[in-house]
Amino acid sequence: MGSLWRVLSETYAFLKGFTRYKETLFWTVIFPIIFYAIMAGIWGTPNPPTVRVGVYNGDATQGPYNMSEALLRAMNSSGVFKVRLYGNASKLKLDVAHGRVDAGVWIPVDFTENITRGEASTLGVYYVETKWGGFVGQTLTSFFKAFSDILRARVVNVSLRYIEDSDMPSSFKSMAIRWMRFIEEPLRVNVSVEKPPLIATSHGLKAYYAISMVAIEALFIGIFSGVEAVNEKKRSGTLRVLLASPMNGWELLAADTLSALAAVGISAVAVILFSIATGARYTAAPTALAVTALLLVVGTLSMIGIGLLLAPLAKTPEGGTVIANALAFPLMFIGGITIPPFALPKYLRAFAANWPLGKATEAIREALIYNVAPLKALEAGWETIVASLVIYALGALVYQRLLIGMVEHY
Amino acid sequence: MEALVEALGLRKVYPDGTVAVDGVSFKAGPGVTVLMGPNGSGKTTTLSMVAGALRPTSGRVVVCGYDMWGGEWSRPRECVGFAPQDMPFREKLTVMENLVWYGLIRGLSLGEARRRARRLLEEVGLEGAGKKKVAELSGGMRRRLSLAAALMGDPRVLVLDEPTSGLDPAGRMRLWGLIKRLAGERVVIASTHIPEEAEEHADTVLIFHRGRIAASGRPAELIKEYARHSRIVVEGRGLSKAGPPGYAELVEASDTRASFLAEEPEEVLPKLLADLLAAGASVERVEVRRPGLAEVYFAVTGEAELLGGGGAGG
Repeated sequence: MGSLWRVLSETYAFLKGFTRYKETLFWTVIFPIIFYAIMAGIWGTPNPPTVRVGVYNGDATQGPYNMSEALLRAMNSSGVFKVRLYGNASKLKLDVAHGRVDAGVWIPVDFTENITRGEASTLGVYYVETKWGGFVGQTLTSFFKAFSDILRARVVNVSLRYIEDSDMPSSFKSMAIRWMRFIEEPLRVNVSVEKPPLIATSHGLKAYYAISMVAIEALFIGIFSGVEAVNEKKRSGTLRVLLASPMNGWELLAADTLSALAAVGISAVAVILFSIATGARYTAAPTALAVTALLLVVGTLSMIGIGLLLAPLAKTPEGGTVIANALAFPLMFIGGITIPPFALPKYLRAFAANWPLGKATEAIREALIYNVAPLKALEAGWETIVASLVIYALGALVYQRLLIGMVEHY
Repeated sequence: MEALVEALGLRKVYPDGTVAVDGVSFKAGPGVTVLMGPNGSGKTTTLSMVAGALRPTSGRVVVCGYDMWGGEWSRPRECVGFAPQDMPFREKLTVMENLVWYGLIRGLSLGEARRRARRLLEEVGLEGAGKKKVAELSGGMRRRLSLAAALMGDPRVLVLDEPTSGLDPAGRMRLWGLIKRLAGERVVIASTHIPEEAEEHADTVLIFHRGRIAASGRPAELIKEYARHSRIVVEGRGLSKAGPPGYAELVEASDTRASFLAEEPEEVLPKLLADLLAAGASVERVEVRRPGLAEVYFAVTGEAELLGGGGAGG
């Protein structure tokens, strides 16, 4: 039992000092809440970008069947376009070139006339291709294609009525009707969404970023704990009394690890509770929570292990801080915990999708947000668990060597 | 005497080649053993090795029958309570919380640590300070807290590095009184650079000089063996005009201060003053210091510098 209490000593000191050391309170609770609030505030609501479109409508058709006005109504109601009408085609082209609008559309004078007479009508579209990686062009193309499909469907329906009412032989009529249906929709695509729609909602996005923040805390707390494990004790003077105490090296490591896990746990609870208060939604099944806790422990252990492996490079606590930050900050972005792996460049995706904390984070999302059965999420993460424990074990060996060095040459 | 602590041929060489301790051997049983010497003489290094915080380059430390650097890590360290010169405390935690932490690292349960902390705070006179943050304590209170922290594990051996450092003479006296009262039947091994402390409080003194023990024994025996002579200190002007007298040993001379050693100062003093005045010196102050460990230190090391800030009679 003595060993158990020795191992709990650092956690005791951490919890007692948690609210009194302002920097601890800030980095463990306040900073992650602020950072989460920023992420959720910016990206927590599905909000596709708006394309500013200038339209020069040359269509002279009067009357209720003006197709250009139908097109403009469709564009305005799509929620994607912000339409501005131009009376001058040259001015529109100039504004597109100077970025005052994202794209320009020219509706020709015979637009309605051609369509109602069953002849193809040509729309002119002008945009700056490099802007937004082609998003503008793709959005416009998709929209006009969809509009064209609607027009085709109407034409086909009108044609079908003529065919139905005609005097064609019935066998030829049925063949014609099938052929017209084929022209209307040559390819049917059934889309089923595997992940539930929660992630596409504000609730799901906020939960996503809350878990990102928890992973960031595990990243920083883990690496810092590992890198500074020995140096900080030497700086504070506690190393000497600890080496003179009955605590052996393994108990010392366990004490530091438990203290770091406590910090990550407090941070996680604070962020998730705050996220729930601001609209995030999670799966609340006990199994999911247990799996989450296990994966978080495992992910943190991997980062502590990495920190311990780097510890010999840190000759001073200040040097340790530099090393820890130099690693943790890039990992925050390229590790797939803040930016989803699919959104990263190709050459980073393999790493982001496979390193222990990244995989643990995604498995936590599966259990808490994507409604994957918790044990299945855990199953997907068993390699993560093994890899994390191996990294931690290697780090532990490095730690013991560092302690031996301290005992030899304090 | 039952020797609970044995240091055998301790040697410590640092990576830069510095020999901090060179072949130190001693035994310590119940009572107070004081390591006396100036800064850099090897006292702290020796205490760290005895407490188990620093591995010797060669030699052995045996505590309560266990080799400190043998196969068992915990057993010998359970026997020792160590208070380094700058005992680390978490400044924003309370006195009580810090003591409990010291109890936990010794393997006490939370409840037992709290009970023991309360009792020790009473014994060191800090019972009203349990809820104060350590940052609010005075120097004397911190020293008492260090003593309490070292006692949390109820050790048989107390190792205290400069326990009275930073205290005024009255504070030092009080703290030594506390140490001796709380020590009971324990082995206390402490260090100091103030000869009067060692003389007053030690049962055994180890005089350290350049990493070695220059002399060891009971204070009275050391004084009798190495420092029979009293020191006569004269302050004035023109004191260097008079040469060394034949009846007293001149150990220090400048124009304003001169020191002499004499076995019978009462007989020598009148003649000495007369000779100085006859030589044209003016005398402003005369002090006769009975021999103490400062004189012993000079005798065994040949170094006349006063130890620390006090020196003999200071």
